[in-house]
Amino acid sequence: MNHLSDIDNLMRGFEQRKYVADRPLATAIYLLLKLQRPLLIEGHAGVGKTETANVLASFLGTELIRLQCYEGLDVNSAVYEWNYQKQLLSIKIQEHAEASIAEKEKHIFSAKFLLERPLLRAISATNASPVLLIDEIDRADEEFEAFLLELLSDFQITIPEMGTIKATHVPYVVLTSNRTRELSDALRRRCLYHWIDYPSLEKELHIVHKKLPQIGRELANQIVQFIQAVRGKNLSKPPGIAETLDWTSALLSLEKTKLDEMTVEETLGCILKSNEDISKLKAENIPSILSQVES
Amino acid sequence: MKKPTQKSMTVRASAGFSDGIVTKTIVQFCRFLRANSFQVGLQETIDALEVARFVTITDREAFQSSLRALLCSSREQYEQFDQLFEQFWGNSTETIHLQREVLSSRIEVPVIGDEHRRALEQASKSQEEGDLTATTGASAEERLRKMDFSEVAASDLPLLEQLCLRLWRQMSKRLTRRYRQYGERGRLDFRRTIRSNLSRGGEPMTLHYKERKRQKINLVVLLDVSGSMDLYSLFLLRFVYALQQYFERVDSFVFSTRLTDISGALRTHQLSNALQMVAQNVESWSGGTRIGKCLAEFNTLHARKLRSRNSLVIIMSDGWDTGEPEALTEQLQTIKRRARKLIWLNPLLGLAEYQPITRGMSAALPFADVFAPAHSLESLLQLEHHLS
Repeated sequence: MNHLSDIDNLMRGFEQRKYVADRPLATAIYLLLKLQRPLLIEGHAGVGKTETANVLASFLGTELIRLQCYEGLDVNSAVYEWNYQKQLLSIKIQEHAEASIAEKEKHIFSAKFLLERPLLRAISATNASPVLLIDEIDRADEEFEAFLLELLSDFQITIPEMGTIKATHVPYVVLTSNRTRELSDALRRRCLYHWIDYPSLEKELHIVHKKLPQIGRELANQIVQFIQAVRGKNLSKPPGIAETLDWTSALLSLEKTKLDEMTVEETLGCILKSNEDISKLKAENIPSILSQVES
Repeated sequence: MKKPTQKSMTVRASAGFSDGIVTKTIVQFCRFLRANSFQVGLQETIDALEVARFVTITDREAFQSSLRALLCSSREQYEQFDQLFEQFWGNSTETIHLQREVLSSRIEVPVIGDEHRRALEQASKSQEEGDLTATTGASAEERLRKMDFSEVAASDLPLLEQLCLRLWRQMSKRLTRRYRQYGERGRLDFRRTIRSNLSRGGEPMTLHYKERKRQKINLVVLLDVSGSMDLYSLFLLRFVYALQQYFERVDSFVFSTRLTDISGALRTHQLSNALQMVAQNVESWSGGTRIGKCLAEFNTLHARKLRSRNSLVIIMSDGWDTGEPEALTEQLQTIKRRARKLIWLNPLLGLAEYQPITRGMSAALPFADVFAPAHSLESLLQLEHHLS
């Protein structure tokens, strides 16, 4: 068993899938696979937290099951729900059937009538461990977080009418959070932790070339340097890597080969998503930022 | 989850050390982290040892990354970790020498069995008793919660600010949840349900509910920013900002000799921006106080915002008024008629010897439904009970 080659393998596999993972991230994922503990990834918006889980699923060749959290998310929409309409119809159809009440009841509470939601699907996977992505856990309520904690420690779900379902293939769990709310200590302690920061200049360049190989060296350099400068400007929503890539593809389809003031002003909406930020950056004097950007 | 097997396993470890030295050092490292307010308990320590079984110590980078993923649980810790790791494991020639030895030798280190576990438990227990530093995180929090805003040392400010934001956020979560329960689906509307399901033979496939009317609370906050409130007003302003985020309708004003509407400024999403805008907008910051006049301004210009059944008015002021008390009385009467509740928060109430006998304050007292302190985080959190 050689962990070094495993971690290298992971990095290579991710890279093949156009995701540039640095060594610490690869190590965290290695531990996730090895210890089968959930991995909590935090970081600014648009730095590739969600993408990590996508790529991991593709790397492992398993299914990705995604649960998007939101305020008011409840167990019914996260775990399971009975298909009431179908049950009612079935009762109607069976009205004159010869079966006993108990049999009828058993019938309408069978798997056929169960609507599996992401968490139940993740638990009941039959072939291989899926990757379960619990996205933006900070947006769910604390009650849901407590429920999740329980689920993540024994990987079983009890449905009163059917009994307990225990995972035969424990899913690999990735949680992401944007830190809009403090997560409970209990959940944090249950998880491995990784913080994704904004990438360095070199790493971001690498990502741009990887994702959009048709781009010219000069333009890529300018874009990334400009973005990195913008991140230092204390805006309310600094651009993430997602924005860099959006902007790059926008400039490519406009057939630009070079950044100039006009181009930047016209396409600023690709990287800044609020009016306040846009006017703030304009006030900062775009030409002066551009002049620092060497090609 | 796979349980570690009980058989011992070959782990590369230093030959210069006695048996189990790796285990011991890792345990010490965990303690070291704990002393630096990491939440590293017994379980984490055991996990760290488990990791050391397949990530060899000699591959420093992987070992460091592994422990970081395992033992950190927030960005702050994540950023602190590398330095602590460096501090503990060092990079002295001795370590490098040891590492070389480690590379060239293999010895048996037993996998943690029950005995180890017990010993560890013992160790961490005795350490808890003796180790005071581990609790500093919690006790600092406790201390800051109660501390008067005017006495907070500059060095404590960032911590207090963080704490405030966190607790206010929690408080507002509870508040919004309480309100949401009102708005939950109402009772089943039988008539609509049967009617709309007629085409399906009357089986109630889709259910219709009677909407329950939601009572929206709107909040009006009037914050005194005159000179005498200087030590408190910045914190209180942050508090107003927090309230603003969670109540659907908050109108906020600051006043000293004049009244300024700051609702718009506070509605921008970033706190620092909002504070900056407020600072730019308020002309009379840190001047004298004329509460009566300001409230009159409020009553003529903004009082139409008050709807008597569901408006809460919060006035945050120490009650030092250079105007006539009669003017104040008159204006408060008007407000009182229009609001559901009038809450007066006075930071000076935190002082043991304080008596509300200034002319302004004694004129105002009869009109306040709630008269409460606002000098510390703890006292502001108490407001939760009155906001209904």
